[in-house]
Amino acid sequence: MSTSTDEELILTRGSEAGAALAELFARHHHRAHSLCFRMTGDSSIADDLVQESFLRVMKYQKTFDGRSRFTTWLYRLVRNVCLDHLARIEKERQMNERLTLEARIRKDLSKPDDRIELLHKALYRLTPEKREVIVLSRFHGFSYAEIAEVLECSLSAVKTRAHRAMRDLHVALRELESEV
Amino acid sequence: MNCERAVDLIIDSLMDRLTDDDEAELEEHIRSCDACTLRRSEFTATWSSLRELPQPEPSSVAAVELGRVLGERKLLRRYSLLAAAAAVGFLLIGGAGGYGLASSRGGSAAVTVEDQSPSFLLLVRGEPELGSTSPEQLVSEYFAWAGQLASQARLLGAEKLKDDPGRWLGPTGRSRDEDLQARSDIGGYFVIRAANYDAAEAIAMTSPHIKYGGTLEIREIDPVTQ
Repeated sequence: MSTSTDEELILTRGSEAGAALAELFARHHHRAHSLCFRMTGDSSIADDLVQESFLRVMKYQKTFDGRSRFTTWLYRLVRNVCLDHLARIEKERQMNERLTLEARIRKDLSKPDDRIELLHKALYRLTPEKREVIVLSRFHGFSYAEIAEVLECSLSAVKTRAHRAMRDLHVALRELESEV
Repeated sequence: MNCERAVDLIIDSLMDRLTDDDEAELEEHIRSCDACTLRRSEFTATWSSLRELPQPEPSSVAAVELGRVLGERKLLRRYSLLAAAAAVGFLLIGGAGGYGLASSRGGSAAVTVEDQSPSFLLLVRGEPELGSTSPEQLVSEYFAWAGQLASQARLLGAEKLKDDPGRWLGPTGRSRDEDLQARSDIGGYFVIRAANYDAAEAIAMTSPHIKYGGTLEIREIDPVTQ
C-alpha cells in the first residue's frame, strides 16, 4: 500500500493520477459501499452507486481543494449520489406503488431474527435525511461535528436531526412490532 | 430537567459525547424518573441492535464493471488497472469463469512500469481455508490486495488455472502417473515486480492466500534475451 495520504493521492496530477485513484478506490470502496447500502437497503444498488460515486470522484477530482479531509469530501459526494438515487426511487414509487423498497430490502436479509428485521424496516421508514445521520454515526463512527462537516450544516442542526431521527426510529419500531 | 431534554441527552450520549455537566444532570434525572430509565434502556438496546444489521460486501463483479466503464470512457488508461485487480480477486476463487480475464489480458490493463526491478512469479498453491469467512469476503480481500499492487504498478499479471489435473509430459509422451498428477496443487499465479526476493516475500506475506492458510511459491523470473 502506498504511504501517501488520501489528500496527497487525490491531489495527484499527470501520469500518476490514475494509479492514485486506484489506490483511493482500494482504500475506500468498502466504506462507500457500506454507506450506500445503509442508505438504500440494497447491496446491488449500492454497487451501482459506488460506481457512480467513483466516477464522480474522477470527474470532480480537480474541485478538491485540500481544505477538508478527503474522506469528508468523499462522504459528501457519496451521500449526494445516494440522495439523488433515493429521489429517483421516490418518483418511481409514486408511479408504481407495487415497487416497494421493502421488497428489495428483504432480498438482502439472510434470515435475521424478527427484531433485527423489524429494525431494518424501521430504519427505512425514516426519511433519507434522518436515516443518514444514524448511518453516519452508527455505522461509520462519525461525531456530530464530523456529520455537520459532511452535511454542510451547523452542529445544532445535526443534533436536532439526530434527536428526531432516533425518536422516529423508535416510533417506527413500535408501530412495526404492533403490526406483527 | 424535563423528560424531553433527558431523551435528547440519552440520544446524544449514544451518538456523540456528553459534557460532564450534561452527564451529571442526566444521571440525576434518571435516578428519579422510572420512565426515562426505561427509555434509556430501550434506546441503548436499539442502538446496540443496529450493529447487528447485515452488511453485505461490495460485489467484485461491480468493481470489474467499474473498470470497464472507466476504460470505455477513455479517461485514463491506467484506471483499467482496477479491472485487472478485480479480475485477479474474482478469478482466484474460481467463481467467475472467464469473466474479467480479458481485462487482464488486454493491452489496456498492461502495467506501465518503467523501473527495471526484477519480476517474480508467485505460484498459488493449496486451498485457502475459509473457516467462517464468506467467499465474498475473500473476494473482497483479494480485490483490495491486488488493487493495492496494481495501484503501485507492481502487478504484472495474474491468472487462475482450471481445476483439473492438467497434462504431464515426458520423453515417452503423456504420463499416466496419477500420483504425479495428484501432487499438482497450483491454482493460479501472480507476476509481480519487487526489488529483490525479500521484498517479494514481504508482498506475498500480505496476500489473503497466505492469511487463509494457503502456500505461495516465489520464483524470480530470469529474463532470457536473444
